[in-house]
Amino acid sequence: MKHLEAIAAHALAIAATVFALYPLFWVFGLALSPTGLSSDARMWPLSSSPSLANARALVEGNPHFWTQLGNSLVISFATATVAIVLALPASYALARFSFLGAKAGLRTMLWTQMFPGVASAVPLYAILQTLGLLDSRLGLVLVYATTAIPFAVLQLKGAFETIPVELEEAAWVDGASRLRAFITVVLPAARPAIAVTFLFAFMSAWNEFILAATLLSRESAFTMPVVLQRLVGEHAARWGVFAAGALVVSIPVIALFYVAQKSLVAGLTAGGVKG
Amino acid sequence: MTASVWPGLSALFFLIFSAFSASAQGDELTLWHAYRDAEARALEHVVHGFAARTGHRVTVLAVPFDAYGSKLAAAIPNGNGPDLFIEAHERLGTYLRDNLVEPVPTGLDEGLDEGLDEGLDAPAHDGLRDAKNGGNTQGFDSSARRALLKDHALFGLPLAVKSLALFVDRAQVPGPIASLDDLPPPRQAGTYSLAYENESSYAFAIFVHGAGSSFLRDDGTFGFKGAEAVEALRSVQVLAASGRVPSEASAALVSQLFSEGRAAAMISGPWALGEALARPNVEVLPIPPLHRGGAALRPFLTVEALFFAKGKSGRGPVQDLARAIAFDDGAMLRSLEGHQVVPRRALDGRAELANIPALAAFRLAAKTAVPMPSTVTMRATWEPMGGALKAVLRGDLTPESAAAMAERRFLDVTRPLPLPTSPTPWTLALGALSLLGAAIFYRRSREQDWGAAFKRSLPAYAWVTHAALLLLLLVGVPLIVGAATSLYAGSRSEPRFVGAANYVSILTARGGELLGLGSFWRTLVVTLLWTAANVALHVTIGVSLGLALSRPLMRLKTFYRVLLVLPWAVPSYVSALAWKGMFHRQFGAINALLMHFGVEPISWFARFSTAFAANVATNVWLGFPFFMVVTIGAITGLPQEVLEAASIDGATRWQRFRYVTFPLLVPALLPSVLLGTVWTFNQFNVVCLVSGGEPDGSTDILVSEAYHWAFTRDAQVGYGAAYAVLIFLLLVLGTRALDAIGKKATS
Amino acid sequence: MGSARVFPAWHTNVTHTCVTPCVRRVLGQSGPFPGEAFRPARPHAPMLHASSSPVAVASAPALQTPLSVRSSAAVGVERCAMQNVKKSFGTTAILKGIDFDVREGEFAVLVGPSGCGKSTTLRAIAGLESIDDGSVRIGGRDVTLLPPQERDIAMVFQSYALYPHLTVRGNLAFGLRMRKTPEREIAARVQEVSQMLGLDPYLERKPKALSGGQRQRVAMGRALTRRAQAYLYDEPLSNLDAALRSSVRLEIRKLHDRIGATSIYVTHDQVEAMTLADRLWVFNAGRVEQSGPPSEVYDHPRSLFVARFVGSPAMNLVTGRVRRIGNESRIEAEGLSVPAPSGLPEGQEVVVGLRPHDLHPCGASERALGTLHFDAFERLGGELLAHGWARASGANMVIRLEGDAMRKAVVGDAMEVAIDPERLHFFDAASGLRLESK
Ligand SMILES: Nc1ncnc2c1ncn2[C@@H]1O[C@H](COP(=O)(O)OP(=O)(O)O)[C@@H](O)[C@H]1O
Ligand SMILES: [Mg+2]
Repeated sequence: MKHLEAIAAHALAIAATVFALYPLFWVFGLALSPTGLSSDARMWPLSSSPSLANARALVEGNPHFWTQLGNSLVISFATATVAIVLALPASYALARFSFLGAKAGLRTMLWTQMFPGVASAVPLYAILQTLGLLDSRLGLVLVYATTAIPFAVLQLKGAFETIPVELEEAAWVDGASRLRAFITVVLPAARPAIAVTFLFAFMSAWNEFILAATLLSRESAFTMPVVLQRLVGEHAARWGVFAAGALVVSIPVIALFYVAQKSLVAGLTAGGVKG
Repeated sequence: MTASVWPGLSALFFLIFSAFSASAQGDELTLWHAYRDAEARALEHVVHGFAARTGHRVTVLAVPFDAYGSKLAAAIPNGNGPDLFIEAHERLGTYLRDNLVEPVPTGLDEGLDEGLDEGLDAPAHDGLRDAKNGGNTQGFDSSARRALLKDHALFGLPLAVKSLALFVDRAQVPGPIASLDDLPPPRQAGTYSLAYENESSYAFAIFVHGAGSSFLRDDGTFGFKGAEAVEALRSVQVLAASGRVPSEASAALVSQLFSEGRAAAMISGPWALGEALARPNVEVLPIPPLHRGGAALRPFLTVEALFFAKGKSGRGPVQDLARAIAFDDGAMLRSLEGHQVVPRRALDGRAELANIPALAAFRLAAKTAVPMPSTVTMRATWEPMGGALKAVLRGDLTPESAAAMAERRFLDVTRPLPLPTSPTPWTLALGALSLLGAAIFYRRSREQDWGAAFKRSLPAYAWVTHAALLLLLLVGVPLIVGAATSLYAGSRSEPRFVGAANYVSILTARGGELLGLGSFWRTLVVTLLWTAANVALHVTIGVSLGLALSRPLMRLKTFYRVLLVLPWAVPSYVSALAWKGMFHRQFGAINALLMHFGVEPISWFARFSTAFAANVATNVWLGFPFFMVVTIGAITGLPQEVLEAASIDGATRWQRFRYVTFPLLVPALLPSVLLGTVWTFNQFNVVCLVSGGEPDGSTDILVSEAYHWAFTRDAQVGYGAAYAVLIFLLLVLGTRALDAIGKKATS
Repeated sequence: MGSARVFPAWHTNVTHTCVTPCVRRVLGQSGPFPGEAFRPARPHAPMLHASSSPVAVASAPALQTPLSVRSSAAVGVERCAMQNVKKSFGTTAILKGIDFDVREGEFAVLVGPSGCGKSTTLRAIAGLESIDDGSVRIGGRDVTLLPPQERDIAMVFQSYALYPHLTVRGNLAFGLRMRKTPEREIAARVQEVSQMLGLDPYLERKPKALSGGQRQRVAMGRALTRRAQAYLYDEPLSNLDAALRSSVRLEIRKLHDRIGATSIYVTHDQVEAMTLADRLWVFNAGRVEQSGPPSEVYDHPRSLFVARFVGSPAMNLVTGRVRRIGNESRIEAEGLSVPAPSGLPEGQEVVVGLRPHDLHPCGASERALGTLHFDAFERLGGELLAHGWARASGANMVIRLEGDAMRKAVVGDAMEVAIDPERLHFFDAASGLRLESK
């Protein structure tokens, strides 16, 4: 009985792993194949003679490659930082104070998650234009950060609620102001949740391409999603190069996930996803 | 300049970003274009030469093609736009409507006999006019120039013409080609006589024109109807059935088949020149008739032109730059380096171009091509035409009913704007509502002493204000404005208040069948199906894995866990595009897998069921790790003593799961399920990137439909916004109901 | 332990015989009292031992903090006080006018059943809870409107509230860091306290690597590194096992004396309260029912509530009416007959309280109160708590037996019992208030 169960569990896990990894191997094989997609259907696009031609085309065929990769990194880090820096105090207040408008604010924040971005994209565009931020990274960071904030707030609020109030009270009694106690005691205690929230905010910026394509015009200002999307857009089908780029953009996030592996479960559980 | 607008946070941001928030401003010349690769390089070469010669500073901006139009429309009226921009002539109508362009200054419209232009705006007179101008080697080809005329004023200097032509592999087809019938039949399986993008409306236009039909008539009404339309559809149907052309051929496949010698000829445009001319034995010809003696197959002509942005034509340097780009020297450079087909008479027979005969061939093809109508409604023809074409090729519809469907869909999209409504009743209603709200607010504040509560709340506000303000500005305002847009119709430059007309039109399926293709209700059903299928699979797979990986004695737990979250870590657009590639009919991995097991390959995006399944498979792949991690977290959080108590009470493993673990797990998972439902309901990326709504928009969900209305179907932003508001209402009500049901079920 | 009879003696020991070993810190204006250092201009700051100079630091190298012999003059200066403090949560009144004052060096214990508002009171002192009415004074300053960090108090929480991300050392140093104490002094204080509490081996561990008792010590240590006006404890022992609880209890008292702290201690456990307190505040439903030294509260409970609450095992209570028998007033209560205090009108309903420790087998020269029929024994080794009844329908009575009586007792037996009339307690049945004989 127990053996059967173990076998079933492993069978399930293995099947799921194959399902999860197959597309990744496929992309990997594609990236290393010298011809890209050939007209033959192949289960493994991995050719017998792997080549780095695609990677080379990605980097050398694009004079701005390193700038664009740097853009993506800078914008994503800045987005996550701004979102977290703004969400932390707000979510702390929602977790610890009861104040006029808290409930309404929370509900509104949930609702913004339900409004399709399609409708607000045009007015957003106009606002950024008025602010003179249309073609700047700052504009993009602000937009990304605001879209990341509601989720971050809900997530962090949940995390703060799991931290015992006594911890802070002890710090106040020990002579810390509210702000000081927040920084020296609450934040360190909420580290896993903050890490996970940071990761999500980072990913939301790292993966976004519709707004980036709309708001950025100079090729040297592009982010990687825009670059990659154009490789297999309407007028091009450079699948091999795309696959090489896909690996490039996936690796940092995979690395972050690996690092945050432990916090992921704890951070998500403590966080707002719980409600 | 950016920081002053942002007193609050500016200090921080300014420090970080001022370094790169540069923008194209100042006293220099600005040129926008959407070229890439060789064409872009050639253009920059020209501009650099000009800058070096004159000392002007010129900023050349390559704008991504997808965003080009909306960027121009946003930037020019505010003075942030370019001085000059390069764009295809068919957008001229839109730009004129939006007041973005100016006529070419008279000094630049050189070398034309003005008198001849009067009343001779017809192709039939091109020859005459060219003859009259004959000897005069000045100026642009008349066909190109004519495409840029509106009310006898020239808007834009023609830079390059683009049309389809026939690329022939002379190694396979040495003889003369008087019709497509002269191409040799396929030698063996996997080879073809002719490769062309047989599912694209753009390529289909050849046959439409060949059959004497059109996309749009001169008066702007829909042209694709009647016997000619049926004939056009039937001719491609016959061609496809003959097995001489590959089916479902994308641009990439077409050029690949041709370059590998597996197609004796291909129909493609100047953009394929670079690759094709690298091979020997390739000749470019204007497209011959379908059958010997038949009518000529005429492709669409696109004239890429240099436009003067509104208010910018007066400056001398701008005119100089335009001259440098469009006139002979610039044209020569662009032709040589960018392989552009330039409609400049002065370049005829120039020695430098003699060894690229293909350019001349394209120019010849351009002369008989049909200039693409530049009216605003032109963009609304692509979707219906493509739909009819694919329906016929797939065998779903007869040519007759497909043609009828195309017209119906075109009229649907271009239906006249609703009549403007007086906003007064709405304003009154809004006023009454806010008065009522204020009254309720006042009553409540009296009851609960909000003044004191507010005072008590002050310390908390110090913590939330900055985030609240930013959210209000960048989320709240766009949302409210977006929602308000749904009460308007028309283009962005001339909005028209129509009250609830958009909603009425959406909810009544624009007067068509309630469950007809593209109707709100049908899309809603698809969306619900999509959400239900995804969430069910996400939860089932995620929870089973979570349970399996939470077994205390499970080996390799961490190993599995690390691998199984990978789909979550990969950017979703990358995965969506990868899955799209995997579902590709010819070279996708899935079909390869099927073939390996002896199953016929499937055209995944040709039928609703398979396209929908492909979308679901992609989204399940993307979403199950989240539920797995949430489940693991929830199980970790379960009170261990309860489980132990249950096992002491003699519960079997199954009973423990059924009566203890599961009931405890449900409330912990419920919020995530709700969140997942909302995400899936609005999962735009997957639907847009994997199936793209194929076939015929049947797999579109409400969000992608809203997107189409707002951005692709003649930019009916108000209509799209009304969709968005409906989606929002559905979600708010739906999640409330689900929440209530979930709470009741667990309590 | 738990013997109330030894308590008064022990208690006096504390205040007097403890003096020699109990060296105390200097409360001079130049002393290393951080509160002092920051706020030299405190209006009513204790200005004792003005003659003791900071040179004491050098003269007492073994103890890193300058200490001096405790002076009895210290007792009497108010350290922490509350006046008419009221607090409601929503519409429920939780504190209904608390008056309270602790003097310099005193160990004050707030005791009462759970939910009666002790923690709320303590938190109001600390500033963790705002109050609706009344005032709070610490070190002579009105701190009613000050936030906790400006009140200069230290607190030990029931849940310990150790900072999980800091090592034991970091936890101990936290309060000093917050007050910008020089690092050298922090190190010295941490060293001193960790030695005192035996925490040296654990200084570099994180709290989650400690046992319950060790955590409790760290929590105490964190308060003790500070030199605070008052040390507040909110049920600090309730998470420990019984054996540890009594040993830590003693240690707390010793530490209090050793550093000359002013402590306010909250507990629901009356044994803890009795053993620790210099003065006791018995809380009942948001009010102070009685305050005073433990012996006084024990010997003269002011109400039935206090009588029931203080003392272990609890006081036997029987109800009866005053009856005149001949020229003698007696109270016949549930099978017992006790002499009534003078001045009570006949027929008044009275609750008579008899402590189990005061009851004893009736001697030859004594007059018996009645006969107890034993139905259950609690044998504690050196003594026996015998449960029984005097009348079948009467209340359960407990008597403490020792020596021969203990050895001979058998369940089911009956025994005549007597009491020293001085040790009888009388309460008005209607009001529950103590009746003093005139
Ligand atoms: N924050 C609060 N909100 C509402 N009621 C509270 C709050 N804190 C305490 N109470 C109530 O106040 C009463 C006294 O609480 P407390 O002072 O903690 O009692 P204890 O004497 O056991 O320490 C209890 O009935 C408790 O339920
Ligand atoms: Mg308490």
